[in-house]
Amino acid sequence: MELILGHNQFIGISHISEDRGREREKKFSKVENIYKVVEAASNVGFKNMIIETHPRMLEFLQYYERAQTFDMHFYLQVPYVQAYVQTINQRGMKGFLSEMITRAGWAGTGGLAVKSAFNFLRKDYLAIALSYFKLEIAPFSEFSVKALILHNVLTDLLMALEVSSAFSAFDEYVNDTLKLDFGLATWNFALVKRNLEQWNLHPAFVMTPVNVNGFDMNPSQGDVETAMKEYTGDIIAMNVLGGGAFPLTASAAYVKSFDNVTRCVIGASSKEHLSELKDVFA
Amino acid sequence: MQELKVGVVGLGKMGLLHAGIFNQLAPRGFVAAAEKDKLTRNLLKAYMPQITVYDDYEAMFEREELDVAAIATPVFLHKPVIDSALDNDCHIFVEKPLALNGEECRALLRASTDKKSQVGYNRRFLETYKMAKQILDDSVLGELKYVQSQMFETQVLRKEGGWRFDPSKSGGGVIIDLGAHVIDMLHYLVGPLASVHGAARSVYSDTVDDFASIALQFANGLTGSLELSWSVRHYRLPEMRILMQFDKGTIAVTEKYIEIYSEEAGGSLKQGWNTFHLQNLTKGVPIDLGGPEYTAEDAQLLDCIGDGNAPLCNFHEAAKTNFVIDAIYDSTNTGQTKKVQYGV
Repeated sequence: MELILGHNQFIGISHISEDRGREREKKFSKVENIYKVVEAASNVGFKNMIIETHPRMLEFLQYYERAQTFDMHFYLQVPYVQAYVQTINQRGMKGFLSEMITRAGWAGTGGLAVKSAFNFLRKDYLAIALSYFKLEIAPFSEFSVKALILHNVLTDLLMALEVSSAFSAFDEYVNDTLKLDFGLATWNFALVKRNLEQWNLHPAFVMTPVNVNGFDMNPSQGDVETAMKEYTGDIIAMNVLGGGAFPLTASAAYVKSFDNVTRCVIGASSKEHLSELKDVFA
Repeated sequence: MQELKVGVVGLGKMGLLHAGIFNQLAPRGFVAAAEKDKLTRNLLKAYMPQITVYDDYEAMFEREELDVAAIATPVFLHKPVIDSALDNDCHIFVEKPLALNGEECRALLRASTDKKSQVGYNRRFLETYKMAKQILDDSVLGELKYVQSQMFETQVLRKEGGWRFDPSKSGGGVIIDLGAHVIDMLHYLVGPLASVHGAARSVYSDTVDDFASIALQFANGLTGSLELSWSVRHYRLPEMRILMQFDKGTIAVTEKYIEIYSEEAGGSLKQGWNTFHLQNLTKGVPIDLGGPEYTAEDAQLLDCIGDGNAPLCNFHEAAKTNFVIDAIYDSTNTGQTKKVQYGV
């Protein structure tokens, strides 16, 4: 089982409580503290890490590049949904869409502005959205990014609304233009599997919650287990330990019971915890 | 489940979320949308050709023969859209709060209808708060003595524009925005309020309240407090925390956990501290977009249309929150304690 270091703890997210999230937010507001944990992860054998296009993760990557005492590859999750939600809360959907179009149209270089104006005129909003993503991803592209993951909030909304053309467009853009693997994160694995088969789409992997308690496994743990066993593609397990609420040994055994789960995202904040995770999951 | 046609009015963040949920829950699902913004309408037309898109909700109701209207517009449009939906025989889901104020709620309650309604007070469907409700209903910890409540979020740290900051369109600031969730939960857990005494302050917003402190007097004699702000730092997500003191223990409940101190062992509780995390309480839902509670409230409405039962937070239940908010604003404006006037 290949372990991928999760990033939630570094940006103040905790499944246990918001209080714990705030403690982590405080600790990891200093990027050298993130670096120390990632370095410790590297020392015990982690080779990959998930990051979001969160400003702090960019700051960490810049620190990592300067210090460079180890090598790490990155799975980049997009978009940075929290920022999108905040903009929508403040300015409404209309304000958010206007900002997306303006930024994609005017902030780009190398013909992006002209291209975006053209896309707007022919109502190719997917092309505009991809231009916006391109801007969001740009600062991260100089680092060793190996795959792009579509955030579960966007994957699940588009899957629920059955907007198949969005996935074909993302897939083509990430594979052909960015030359990266394209993956989907989802909390609705059974639905995603059904739609991918129906739409004949084959992402490089699907990242989804896999845990002993069935948390975030929808529509039910049993249905997801069946769908996972039938699925012919690669699966990356996430939400494996429920932020520390699930027992470690049983969680590892559960994840390992699926043949097509070859990678697993695990979060940790200390050297000791990283070693323990490596011992139990590897 | 019977075939139901759902139309969504207002395709912002919450409208899209409910559109996605209903599209998966109901066999014929999401069939039509009404949205004022042209750009959003064009997006829907381009990528969801299977639905019919209108710029006028009345035209949608007249032409589509919908079974369910899901309403996620700015608050000032709730009542006129509900009126139009009821005129066209629709069952209704509407985001919280039910309406701008108690007067609009009274008008809605006076309108006689056999249609089912659900108002989006989604935390009633979260397992942590459901567990708190069960403990209260079973009197596991004895008599409730005191309630402290708060809801905070980091959202408004500078002057913002838009309908939320125009009280004629939103009904007010943080008191109606976040406060509505807490007041609904206090009704659900504790019961009706007798009077309120509040103080509110605008710091970043010129026109609406950013901070509020409210003293609560419940009809059963209990006292409590409510603290609200959307302008405090380090609250990445909106967090509602309710602390309750009982004869034989305490409960602290948030969206993510419930922590119970019990002097005695009994049922699922051991003597001393008991902590239950959402991860250990929640099971799957047919579709999860942003949290199982959103699916649960929508699914319950559809179930109730089928079986004739009343949804957990129908118009009658949700209107109570508007009546309390009216009393709070009356108090913050006058500096006096105000009685809560429930009912039509």
